[in-house]
Amino acid sequence: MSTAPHILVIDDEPQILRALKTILGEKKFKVTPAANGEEGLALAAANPPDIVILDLGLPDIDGFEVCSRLREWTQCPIIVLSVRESERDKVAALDKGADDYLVKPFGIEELLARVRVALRHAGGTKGSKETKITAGAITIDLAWHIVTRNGEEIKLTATEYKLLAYLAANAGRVLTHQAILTHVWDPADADHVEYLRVYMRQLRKKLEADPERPEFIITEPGVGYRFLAD
Amino acid sequence: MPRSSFVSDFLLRYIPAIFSIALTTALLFFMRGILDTPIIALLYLLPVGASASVWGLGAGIVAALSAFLSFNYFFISPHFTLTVHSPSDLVVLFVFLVVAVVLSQLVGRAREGQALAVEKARLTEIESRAKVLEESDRMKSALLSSVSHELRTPLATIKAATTSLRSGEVKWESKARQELLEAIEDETDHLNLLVGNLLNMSRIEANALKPERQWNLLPEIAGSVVARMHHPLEEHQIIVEIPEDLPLVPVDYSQMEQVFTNLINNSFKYAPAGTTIRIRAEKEGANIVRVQVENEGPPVPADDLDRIFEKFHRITAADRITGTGLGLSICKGIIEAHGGKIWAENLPGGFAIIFILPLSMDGKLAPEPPRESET
Repeated sequence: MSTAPHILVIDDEPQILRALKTILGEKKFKVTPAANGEEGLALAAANPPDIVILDLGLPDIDGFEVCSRLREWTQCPIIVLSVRESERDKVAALDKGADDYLVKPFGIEELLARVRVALRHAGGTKGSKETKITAGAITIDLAWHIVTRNGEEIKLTATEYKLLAYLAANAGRVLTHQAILTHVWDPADADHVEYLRVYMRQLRKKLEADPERPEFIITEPGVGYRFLAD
Repeated sequence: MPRSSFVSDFLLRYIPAIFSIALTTALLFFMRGILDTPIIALLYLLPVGASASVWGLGAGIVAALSAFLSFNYFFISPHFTLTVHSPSDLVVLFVFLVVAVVLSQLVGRAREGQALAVEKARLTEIESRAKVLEESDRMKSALLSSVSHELRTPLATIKAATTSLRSGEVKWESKARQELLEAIEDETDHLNLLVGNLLNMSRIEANALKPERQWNLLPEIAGSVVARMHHPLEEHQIIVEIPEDLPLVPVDYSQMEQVFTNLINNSFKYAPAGTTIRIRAEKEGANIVRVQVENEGPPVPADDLDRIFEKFHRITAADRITGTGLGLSICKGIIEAHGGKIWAENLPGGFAIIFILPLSMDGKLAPEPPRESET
C-alpha cells in the first residue's frame, strides 16, 4: 500500500477519539474521527476508509445498525470497540458483519494487532492467498494439506485438519462457533459446540506445548476461536 | 357519612340484602302449605346471616328488618296485614326480630374483624417492606463506602505514577519507569475487575444473572484465568490438577472465569507468600463435578464459614486486607445460578472453597462427537 491506510473511528467519547487519533496517527495511519453513527456513515461514503473502528453505544443510531448499513455497500474491515462484554453482543456484532470485537478497556498493542490482521485480510482478498502459514514451530501447508512441527509431520484426523486449516486461513480473526461448525461440519451441526470443544482439545494436545495455556488456538469466551499466526 | 358513600352503600349493600329477603319470601310463600311458622322463621334467618356476612353489618340489620316485616305480612295471620292477633305469634315475631338482629350483628362484626385482620396484615407487610428497603439502603451505603475506598486505592497509584512520569524526574530508560508503567496497567486491570464484580453483584441482586450455558472444558477456563494473572510467581504458585478425562461441563465461560478469578484472588489475599494454591476437579457420581480451590492460608473460625459468602463480610479488619467483600458472594450467586452449591472448609494445613456443578444440561450429559482415525 503506497498511501497511509485510512481509519475511520466512530465513537461518541471524545477521550477515546483523542487517544486513538494520537496513537494511530503516531503509527502513520490517517485517522478520521466521527462522533455519531450518521456522521460516520456520511464520512465513510464521502471518503471510503480502509478500516472502520466502531463503538456500539452511539447517541443516534445503534452500532449494529451502522454495521449492517456499511455492509450494504462495502466489505472494508470493521473492528467493534465497545464496553459491552456479553457474548450475545459480540456474536450479534460479528453476525452483522463486523470482523473483530475488542472490549474496552483495551490494550493498544491488541488493537494494533487486530488492525494489522484486518488490513492483511482485506488485502489478501484481492491478491494471491498465502498457502503456507507458520505459527511458532508449526507450519501449515494449505496446498499440500501437511502440518509440521520443526519439519516433522503432525498426524491429524480429517476433521482436525479441516478445522485447523479453516482457523489458519483466517489467522488473527475471531471465528464464531457457528461459523466454524457450519464450515467444518455442516450447517445442521451449528449448535454442536461440544464437537468443537472436543476437537479443539485434541488439536491443542497435538499442537500446543501446554494445551491448558494455548499459544496458537485462542479461546474467545462464549464467542469462538482465534488462530494466532506469526 | 358523605352522601355519595351512602348512595353507593345503599345500592351495593342494602338493595341486594332486601332483594335476598324478597327472594326468600317468594320461595317460602310458594311452600307455605308444607312449612310451619317456626320453620319459616328459622329459614328467614339464613338470608339475614348471609347478608350480614357478605354485605356487612348495616345490610344485615336491613335484611333483619325486612325479614321481620315480610314474615309478619305474609305468614302471620291475619295474612297480608302487619297486625298480629295471637299472643304466641307476637312472641315468635319478637324473638325472631331479636335473633335476626343479634345474628346479623355477630356475623357483621366477625366480617369487619376479618377485614381489620386483613388490613393489619397489609400494614405489617408494608412495615416489613419498609424494613427491607431500609436494609437495602444500609447495604447501598456500605457498598458505596467500601467501593469508593476500593476505587481510590488504584486511582491513587495511577495518579502518583503518571504525575511522576510527567515530572521528568524519572529517566526514560530506567527500571523505575517500567515499574511505574506496570503499576498503572495492573491498577487499571484491577479497576476493571472491580467494575465487573459490581455489575455482576447488581445482576445477582436483580435476579438478572442468567448463565449462557454451553459445553465447556473446565481445565481450559481455569488455565486461561491462571495465565492472565499478573501475580509474582515467588509469592504464590498456582497448580491446576484437573483430570484430562473430565467430561464437558455446561457452564457460562465468562462467569466461571469470574468465579476462578475471585477464588484465586481471595487465596492471594489470605494465604502467606511462598505457598501453593491448588485447583482440583473431579467427577462425583454420574452427574456432578466437584471443584476445589485450596490454599495454605489460616483456618477460618467455624462460625464464619457460612458468613464469608455474605456481601461485605470479611473475616479480618477492613484496613488490613483490601477488597470490597463482594468476591465470594458473587461466586455464590454464579454457582447457584448454575444449579450448583458452594461452601468453605478448613483443611489440615489450609483452607478450601469447594463447589459442585451439575454435569447435565436439560437432563442430558455432553454428547460425544463421532470418532475418526488419523490419516
